[in-house]
Amino acid sequence: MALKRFLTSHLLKRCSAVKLVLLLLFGIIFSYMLAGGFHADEPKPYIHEQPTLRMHPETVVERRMLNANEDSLESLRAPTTRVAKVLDNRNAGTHRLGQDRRGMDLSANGGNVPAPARIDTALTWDKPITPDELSRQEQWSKVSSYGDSAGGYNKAPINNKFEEKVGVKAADNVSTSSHSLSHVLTATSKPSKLNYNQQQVAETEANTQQQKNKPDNKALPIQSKIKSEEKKTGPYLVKAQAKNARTTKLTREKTRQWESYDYENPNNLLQIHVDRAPEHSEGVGTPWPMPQSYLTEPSLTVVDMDNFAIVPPAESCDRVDKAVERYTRHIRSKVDLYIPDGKTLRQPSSKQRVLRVLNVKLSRPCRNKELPHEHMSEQYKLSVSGLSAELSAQEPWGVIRGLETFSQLIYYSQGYPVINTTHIKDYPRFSFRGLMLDTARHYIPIRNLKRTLDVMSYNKLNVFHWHLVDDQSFPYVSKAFPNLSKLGAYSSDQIYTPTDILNLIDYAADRAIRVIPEFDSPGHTRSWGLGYPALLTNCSADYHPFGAVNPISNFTYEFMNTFWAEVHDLFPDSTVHVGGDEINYKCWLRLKKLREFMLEKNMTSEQYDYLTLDGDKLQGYYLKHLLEVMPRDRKKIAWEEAFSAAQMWNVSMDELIINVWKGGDYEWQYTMENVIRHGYKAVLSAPWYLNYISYGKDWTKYYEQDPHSFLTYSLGADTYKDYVLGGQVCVWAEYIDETNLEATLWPRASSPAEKFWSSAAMNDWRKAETRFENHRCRMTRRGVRAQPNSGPGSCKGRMQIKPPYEANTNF
Amino acid sequence: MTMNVLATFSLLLASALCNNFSGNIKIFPPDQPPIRDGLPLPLPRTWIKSDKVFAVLGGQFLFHATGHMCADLGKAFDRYHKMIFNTFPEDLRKSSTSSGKYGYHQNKHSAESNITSLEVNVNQICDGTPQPALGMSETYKLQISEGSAMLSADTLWGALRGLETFSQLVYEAPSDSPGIWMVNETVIEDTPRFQHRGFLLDTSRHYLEKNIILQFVSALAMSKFNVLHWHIVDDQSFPYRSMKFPDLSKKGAYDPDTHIYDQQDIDEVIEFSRQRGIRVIAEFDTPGHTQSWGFGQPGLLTPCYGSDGKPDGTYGPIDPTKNSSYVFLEQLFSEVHQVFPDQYVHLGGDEVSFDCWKSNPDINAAMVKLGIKAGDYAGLESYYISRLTDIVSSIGSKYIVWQEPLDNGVKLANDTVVNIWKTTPQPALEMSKVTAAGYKAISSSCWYLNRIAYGENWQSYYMCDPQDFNGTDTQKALVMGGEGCMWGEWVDGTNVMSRTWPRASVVAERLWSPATATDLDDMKERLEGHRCRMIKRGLDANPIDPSYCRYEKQSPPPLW
Repeated sequence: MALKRFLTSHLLKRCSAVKLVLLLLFGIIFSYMLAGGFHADEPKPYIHEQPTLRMHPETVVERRMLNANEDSLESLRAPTTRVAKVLDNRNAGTHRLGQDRRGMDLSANGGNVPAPARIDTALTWDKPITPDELSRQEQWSKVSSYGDSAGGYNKAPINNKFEEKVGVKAADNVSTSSHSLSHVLTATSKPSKLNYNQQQVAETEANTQQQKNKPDNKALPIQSKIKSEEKKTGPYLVKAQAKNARTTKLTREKTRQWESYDYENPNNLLQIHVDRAPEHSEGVGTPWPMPQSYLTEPSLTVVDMDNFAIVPPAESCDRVDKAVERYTRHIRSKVDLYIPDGKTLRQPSSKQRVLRVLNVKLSRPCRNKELPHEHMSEQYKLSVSGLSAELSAQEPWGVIRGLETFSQLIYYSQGYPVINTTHIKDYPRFSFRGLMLDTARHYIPIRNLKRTLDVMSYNKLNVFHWHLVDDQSFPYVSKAFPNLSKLGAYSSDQIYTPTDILNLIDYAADRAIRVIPEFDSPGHTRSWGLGYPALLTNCSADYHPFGAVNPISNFTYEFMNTFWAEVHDLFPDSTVHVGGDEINYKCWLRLKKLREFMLEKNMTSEQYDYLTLDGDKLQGYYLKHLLEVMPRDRKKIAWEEAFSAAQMWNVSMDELIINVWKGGDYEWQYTMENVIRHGYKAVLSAPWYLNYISYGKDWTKYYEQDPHSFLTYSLGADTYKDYVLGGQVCVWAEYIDETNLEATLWPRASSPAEKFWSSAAMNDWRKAETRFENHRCRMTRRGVRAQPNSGPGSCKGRMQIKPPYEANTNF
Repeated sequence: MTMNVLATFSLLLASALCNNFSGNIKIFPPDQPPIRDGLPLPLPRTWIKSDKVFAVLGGQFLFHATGHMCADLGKAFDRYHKMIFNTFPEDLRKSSTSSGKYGYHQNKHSAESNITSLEVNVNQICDGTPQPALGMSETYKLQISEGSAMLSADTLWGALRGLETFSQLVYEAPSDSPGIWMVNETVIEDTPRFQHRGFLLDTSRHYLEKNIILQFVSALAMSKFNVLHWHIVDDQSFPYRSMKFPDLSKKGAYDPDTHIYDQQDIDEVIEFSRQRGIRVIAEFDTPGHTQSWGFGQPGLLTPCYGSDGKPDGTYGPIDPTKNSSYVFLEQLFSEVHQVFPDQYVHLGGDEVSFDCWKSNPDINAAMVKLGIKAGDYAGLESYYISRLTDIVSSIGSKYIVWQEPLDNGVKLANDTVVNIWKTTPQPALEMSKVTAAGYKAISSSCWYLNRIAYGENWQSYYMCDPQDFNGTDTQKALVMGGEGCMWGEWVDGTNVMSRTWPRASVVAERLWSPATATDLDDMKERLEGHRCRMIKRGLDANPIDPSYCRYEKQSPPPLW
């Protein structure tokens, strides 16, 4: 009843008579629910316990709609609250849903890969959920549930059959698109006025309030309005409506101003449609990338940021300790908060519910100096409720990911840093979530690489693929072959020493990021030739004196043996990248010795009835022998050119991972399919070449690409999806250096980062837009030069920029 | 004199350029770093350079005014001393361990005589706060010979351009010879080809912090631009804080406290620019592109009507039929006239949609009263523009408009300056049409730098000549110059510098240097040198090619 009183008294001040009537109705509905709608043992919403923290009217609206939802759901639903149970059971380890899902109609999912990606992983580590928790989650699941554990976030993924069987109702599947809306409504076979979309409903509501001078008001009777709202309402929509309510309020304010100013047209509404990007502040406190299961309710707890403590697990280790230290410092610094100008943070009072501590738990002890690896566990569970917050994970990597998420949940509201009551269960969709950076076309100093690693960790990327050397320069300092960098680097300052590299690897490991070095051969190696000309084929008559690496000389393989052994000692990751792309055969074929060799070994193919020398086969020969002289205990990744070569020479598929990079838009799908059909594992880079800049908004394009999208073509998705290790963003540096790297990368790379981490169901950029804009602004507040990528807009807050250094200070 | 200069120009240029470069530098990592230092951009009208290299001793070096001296010149001396000799703020200076493997020491020893001062002779008085203006003299002469360096110019502005060139000719010896700067024996006589060399910066689509604008102006000065075209407001936001109409920014800015330019900010930008010989021309675009004005000035915009004949709640361009609109505009533009000292103001006038006017019965009724033919919305626009230009003229401003009013047949006063921006119809045709009608023209069509693409695209900017159209000499003389544009939809403080520079410098060269300067390879060398110089001066400029610059951008340390 406290809430009712609160609502009444608070809103009295603001609302007109019509609103009050509405409100009373809601109040009645709500009290009815309190009396009988819930189970007796259900914990009450936290809002009851907060006398001093004033709820924002918007939040109240949100609550109100929620309640309305609950109520009308009762009438719609045949077996009450079954849905949430089923959903939770799936998390808790029942196989029932998995079976149901297999019967799913893929076409209902818009031709995309079915939602569940890693359900099995979730099964193995989740403890069974207690009844208590279950009932709580029932409630939350109506608030907001994203990710594949909900079976889809935007399209209606669960088909009619399934719905009938378990009694799922529309409102429980988060769905806003009209497509899924109609689908859902057909399923529940409840006739209603479909043609009111949410916008219209909100506007209608606004109209009731404002356009009193309009006799033909189209407002629906309240009850039917609620119904029409809730029918198309998933948890996501509840939020959206709250947003609309906010707009309504703003419009109203404007109207008032209008009335007082406009002497010529007093009856008009001032609605100016300005083409701006979404307000980033609409998305405050939302995480990026979206967790697999994200349950939140707008019950706020104040966060005591000044004294905030993160308590490491009892048996901790350095990676965890450092992350705890880092995030404690970060949270205390409050840089994430957007505090409007002129406002200051208030100290939480003793009457408020205050969160001061985040407890970190590890389910197994960790060792110092552990390194992230290909099978690392990044899953974590985070729950923030009331006075306690707990983050639990299996391994340090999960802790690091969870702390990042936690830091993203805190936001500014009404003078306080606050956090919503939130329960998150999260794990990555793909184990390989990479970013490739080319430091050969332009040298990028270590300090900037470290910045990039920082931002990667904000986006939960976990592989730094370091394209160290290329035609243009050789900045890697080799002990065995010092001339490589001495003569091949741009200058003696623009190098990476072993100390630099070890330092960087450690820095990356602190952020749960693997470092995979790439030494590309046999092509892209001209700078190697500066120090060791004997390594390359020499056809000096050509435009370039040097061609690719000489594939038939013993020196090559001796050199590579020593070279890779050194790389092996320096880079601890289980995988190395051997390149193998874009080999120009011209120089090879020009050399008599090589031509004879090829003829002798039958490296020929027939074209137009002619027997021609086949460079691919010679490349295969090189690859085969290179792999033989390389350390055996590492996995190798190679660019897709190596695939055909590997097949010809029977390179084992356990040994080689194929990195698909050609066919930027959709042609890559055929390559992926081909690679995977032959049993090779693949990492996809093709759609995410961020160095290809273009005018306008392009993160949406990256968001629409999915590493699994080819699976529906003809392959059995379940059989082959695990062959896709993940995806990788590439930044080639022909036109990139320190001046523009950060702005080119971010927030554009954040878009694929969500694709790699979050559920496959996250496939509509429109629904991610506000969150994306907020994430971009979060990054700029953290000091990252993240460019605007959603059109005209503003991150609010001040950007710290120095004046030109030569400026006279005294003018 | 001028004829003489022109006659010898090509010979001298050729001889000067041949000496500069060593070998093939891009295909292969160089044995020697390419010598791109000491190459001026934009290319001077005449530039004679020999192989003789003199050392410039930073510790002792002085600028020495032999003609008129004034505060602005003194500040410029300070500035350029800092820019030439303090390559970085000291705390950021990179510690270098280079062993001098590139053999620069030979050059060092070949320095025959040291330069210890630059004598600057300004012929005209430059006291007070002289305002740069259209047609100001920017001519200068620079002579660097054994033991002496002399710069002479008629005006302060010429001296500023000459100082910039001098600062570009002096380059730092490699790191094994710290404190040594070098300069080749040089004679330069230089004067700009066009009077109006501008760059548009849009602060409405995204707010740009004052310091970014200052950095931008700093970069403009490096490329000898002389106009900052400040597209200060637009549909999306109104960051200009008006004294008379504070509500405009209070309600129309992204953030009424942080995302605005108050008078102090604007004064600072204007003064910063003035000291660098750059005019600040503000654009208050009307009657379209004004959505954000409506928040703070109710009644200004035209209410649009839906198909049901009722106002649909949306708004269109400024209502041209209401007298109150003009009262407001007169007050606003007289304030603008006071705040921005330049004699020109940009009135916009682009992309006016007639749909809203068409839908509104009041507008249509008023048109009848005004004697405008029914359905002739171009006539209505014409009415608006002519009333606005009358107002602005009576205030005492001259004005520039975008090309649409002319395209729509709006009657414009003879002294109107028309800014061509569209790519269809062909800019050349449009230039021909505009100048044939006797209007002065500024060309922007080829230089929309916000429209980015992968790879190198500065070549097209270089090859685009504003006078390249069919027309008489009189017509060509009406071309005042051109402007590059960086519209703000996709840029803000994070990327506006790196996205604009160094490509904008290519535009600068087209507008400053003779039309005969069209050698792309030469341009590329100097452009890379220029970009590296910008980095040396702490300004972000994109790489244009795989290459390296010995001055690294000093990015901030890791975030955490």
